[in-house]
Amino acid sequence: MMRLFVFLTASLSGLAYSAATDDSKSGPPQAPAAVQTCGACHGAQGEGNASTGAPRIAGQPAQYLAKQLESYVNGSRRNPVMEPIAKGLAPADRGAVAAYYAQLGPGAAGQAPPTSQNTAQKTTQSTSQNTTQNERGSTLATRGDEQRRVQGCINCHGPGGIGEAPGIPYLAGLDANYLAAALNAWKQGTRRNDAGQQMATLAQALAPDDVTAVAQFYAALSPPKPAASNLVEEPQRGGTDTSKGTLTESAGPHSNVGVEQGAPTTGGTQGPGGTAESKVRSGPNAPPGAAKGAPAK
Amino acid sequence: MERVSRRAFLRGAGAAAAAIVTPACNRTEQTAGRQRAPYAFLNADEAAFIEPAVARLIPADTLGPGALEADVPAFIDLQLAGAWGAGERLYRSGPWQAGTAEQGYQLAFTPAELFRTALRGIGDDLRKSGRNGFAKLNVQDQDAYLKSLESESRDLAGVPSNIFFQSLLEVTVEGFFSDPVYGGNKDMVGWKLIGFPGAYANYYELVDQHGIAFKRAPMSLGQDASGTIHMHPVEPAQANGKAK
Amino acid sequence: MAERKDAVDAVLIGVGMVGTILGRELTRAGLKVVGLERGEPRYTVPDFQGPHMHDELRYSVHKALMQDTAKETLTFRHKASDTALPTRRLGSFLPGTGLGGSLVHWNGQTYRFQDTDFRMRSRTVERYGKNFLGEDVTIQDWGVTAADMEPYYDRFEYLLGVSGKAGNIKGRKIAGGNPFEDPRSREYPTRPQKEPYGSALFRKAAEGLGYHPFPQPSSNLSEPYQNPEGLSLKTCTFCGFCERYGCEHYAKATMQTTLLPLLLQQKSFELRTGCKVLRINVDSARKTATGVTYVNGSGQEIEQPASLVILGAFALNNVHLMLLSRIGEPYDPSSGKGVVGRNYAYQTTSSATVFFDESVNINPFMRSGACGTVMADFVSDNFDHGPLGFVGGAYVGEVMSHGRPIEYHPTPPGTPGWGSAWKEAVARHYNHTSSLNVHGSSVATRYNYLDLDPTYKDAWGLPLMRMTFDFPENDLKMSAYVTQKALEIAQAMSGRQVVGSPRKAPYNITQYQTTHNTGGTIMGTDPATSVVNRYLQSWDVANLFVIGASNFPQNASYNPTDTVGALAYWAADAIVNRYLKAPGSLMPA
Repeated sequence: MMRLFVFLTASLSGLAYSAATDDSKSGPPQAPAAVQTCGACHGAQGEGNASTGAPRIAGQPAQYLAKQLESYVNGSRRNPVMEPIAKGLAPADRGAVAAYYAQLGPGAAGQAPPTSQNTAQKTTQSTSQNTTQNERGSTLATRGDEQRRVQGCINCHGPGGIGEAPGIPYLAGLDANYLAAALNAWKQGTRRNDAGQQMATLAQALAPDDVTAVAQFYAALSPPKPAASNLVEEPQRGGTDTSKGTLTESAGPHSNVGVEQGAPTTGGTQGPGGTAESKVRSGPNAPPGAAKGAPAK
Repeated sequence: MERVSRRAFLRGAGAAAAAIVTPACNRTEQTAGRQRAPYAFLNADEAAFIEPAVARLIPADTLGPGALEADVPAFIDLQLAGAWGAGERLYRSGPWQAGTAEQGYQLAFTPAELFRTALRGIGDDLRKSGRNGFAKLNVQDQDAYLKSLESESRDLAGVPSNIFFQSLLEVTVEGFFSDPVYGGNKDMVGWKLIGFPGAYANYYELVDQHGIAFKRAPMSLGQDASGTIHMHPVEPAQANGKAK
Repeated sequence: MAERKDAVDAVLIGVGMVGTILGRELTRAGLKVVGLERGEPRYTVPDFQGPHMHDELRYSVHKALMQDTAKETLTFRHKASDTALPTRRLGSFLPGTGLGGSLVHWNGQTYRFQDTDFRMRSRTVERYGKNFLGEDVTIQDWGVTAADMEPYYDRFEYLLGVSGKAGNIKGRKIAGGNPFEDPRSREYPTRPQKEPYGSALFRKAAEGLGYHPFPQPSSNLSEPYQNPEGLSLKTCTFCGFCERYGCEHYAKATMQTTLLPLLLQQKSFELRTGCKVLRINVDSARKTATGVTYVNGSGQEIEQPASLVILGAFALNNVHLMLLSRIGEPYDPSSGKGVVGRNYAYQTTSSATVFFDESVNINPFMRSGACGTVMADFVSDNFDHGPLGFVGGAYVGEVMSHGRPIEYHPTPPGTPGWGSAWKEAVARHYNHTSSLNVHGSSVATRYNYLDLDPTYKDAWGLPLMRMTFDFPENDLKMSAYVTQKALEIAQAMSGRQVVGSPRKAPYNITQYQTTHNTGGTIMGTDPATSVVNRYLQSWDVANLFVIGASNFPQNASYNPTDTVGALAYWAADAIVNRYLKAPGSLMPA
């Protein structure tokens, strides 16, 4: 729950920030000026702040972070604090802050941030309730639920909830309350920026206890190393041949390049190109003129 | 601390380095200094062919590691030792009659039997022509020998050489490109060569960004949160190969 | 001595797509139904979940979801003078097994056949004359028209939630859809899927040449959807693990995601898995089925009596069971007499591959099973065959469904099969290659047929089925013609090199092509030339209905699944609204 409400004067004097490259080569990255604004709630190292409800953002994929800022601008994600902040950032600066936080490590400040209500929950719940909830969280995370028709979170959010760059965020080590709030936002429709409505349909199928269980499960894991940057590059425009492609009518053994429901196979037994059919020669076990195919898979 | 013989030390280190534990089996000498798990199926002579052969089929070169570096021999070994080698999903009733190439495989061998028999035949074949083992040939002669297996139908103790060669090439490609949980494609070098992102695959947001260069590191279905790949445990379908 | 179960109203042989649909319709009509499935139960959670599902070696190469050829396969020969030999490993086609059938692991490509397919013989004679067809070509009319089938296509497509764009709604042509399709009553249930890069390049090239490309209709959904049965599906993520794999996302339309849960909730339905049906039992007059005999997982033989038998076990298994049960006269190619096993057909496919410059990133792994763009300009009788000397046609499209590296690592002709040059070519071309699919029809001939093998047996001691098949001359001509068109389009896609050639004989059973086996229990209006009547009811045994692609008198340009689904609803309608009210032949001779 957001208790602080920060007013901003976004005075971005155009401090240019080049996209983060492999920071092992270039030393500590230069933080864009706008980061000071983010740090007030999200922490000096992007580690999040349970009391303000601002999540950990360090190490989330840059494309994901930038998209969230866009969503606050275009209204597909609603939050009374983030909306004016995002709108106050120029598009280039949104990209810059996203890139900056994407390459920060999980414990960069050397401090493990308190994981908010986790500790509180553990002391107030009985052991057996906790176990059931742990099991339920683990089941939803790794297997899903056939009755509720939800798939395992792991399919998209990766092993141990480490995310799947560039577009899918990590869940591991995020604050349990934040995760629950996010799922509820999908449920209620105050967050509508999910690709293909995957999260909305999934969250709507979960019971409130499920939301708590899966949030607790991921909150107890360790946040991952930073997502690699520059995972997606724009297509190169140069070099495309505009002339007609040379047509090679392939004769002989390559001629029956099969098509497997659309994708070509490259050989008779789906082996590499060049060995489509074995040459017909008699072997010791074959009568003259016959040959045997290879043991196909 | 008691003194440990070098041999015992190496054996111990080899076992520790492997993520799988196999029943004790002889190890080939041809490890090129790398620590590797003992083979479950291949004996020393068989490994002495398989290792250099896969190194010629998919060589290490300027593009990157090849099949040997990718642990493809370990993949082949585990496949031969497992259900596939034992003839899973192979119709194994006779009579066995010769047919046309388009009718497919008609030999009675399971894959494990095919490899065992053919490798014995290769050993005999090389000895007959005065060569003392495939591993000892230079690479040009190795390539020439492999080509002869591929294009002729020489008798390898009952296995036509072209059939053996095609099977070997197929398992080599499989070992290079399958998920690392099966023992090959070590460090996902096969996937890195071509840019295949692996088992975690969600591209809804990217499919209509036509022509983008997608550079996410590949992910194995067996990797955990720290990136360690947990290989499938070995479950040989039959007893391991004889100690040499 | 076989255990005898209590009689039920209906027994389903196979609980795949056909079994699930018929089970649902029959229980809804108040019948007590037993469903016998030879394979195992499986569900989206946990069986199809990732990451273990995304395992190319296990599911594509070792074919983990397919029929176990160690236990049952078929024998194959090109012509009757050859000896048929066992297909010791699956290759050209991959019959599935298990609860939900092959729909679990299909690609989702969902097309309606045209009226020119349902009435192929009469429309050919009408347009091209009596002597246009070769003597050996035994194509027939189905006994139903596209207009007959339309409501059932609609019902099946809305069950699945198919993603597409209509081209003809009640006679009104709609831009962006297929201009050649027969009228449909309404738009697709969900909008078309996103178009991948290679497909967009194809579309521009095809449009530039004056063709009419449209989005491939897909049962991997473009958006969340709730079907009329109340079950909901999710959006496909383009993961590239579609055909041969279960879908973890609830995005592929399968029986598990669209219908099966409701059937399994019915108290009047009992599912028995691990149960392999050996034969359909008939009474001494051989005109009434009394039920079936099956073997369960532990090998125990059991008899299940039933008043109604639904055979929906996949095309090839349907024919096999009819032959083993000795229902209907087996086809004899030398005399031309008999019907069971007659008119076996397949699919005639080829491809055109474009190798692009390295700057063109195709990203083949970002695909769904049924995305992409196709054109129907050379499908069926949509073009003038008069000067060409063949019937039938093919659709052409860029519908690549995956980039899984063991199966897919294209190299240009002349590349060695291994070594550094091979490795270099694979690295160079993997992400910069696109392939067009030419997916063509398959006429029936008097020489291609199915019967029982005299030598080889399955694990239950029963004769394997024997397939006698090679590509007819007609289809090779068709393939040459349409492949040439595909090559022309490929050349206009701005690649560096185009490679392709038409389908050639002899048919190679080791090379995967499609699992679109058709015929053998064909439907028709004349018992002398068909096994079932137009309602899919056996001419010989009135309380037996045989449903599947085995009903097709010949195979059309398009994939068969939509038509099999429509036939299942068509037959269910006839059974529930006519047969059950007055059991007996629905088409008295």
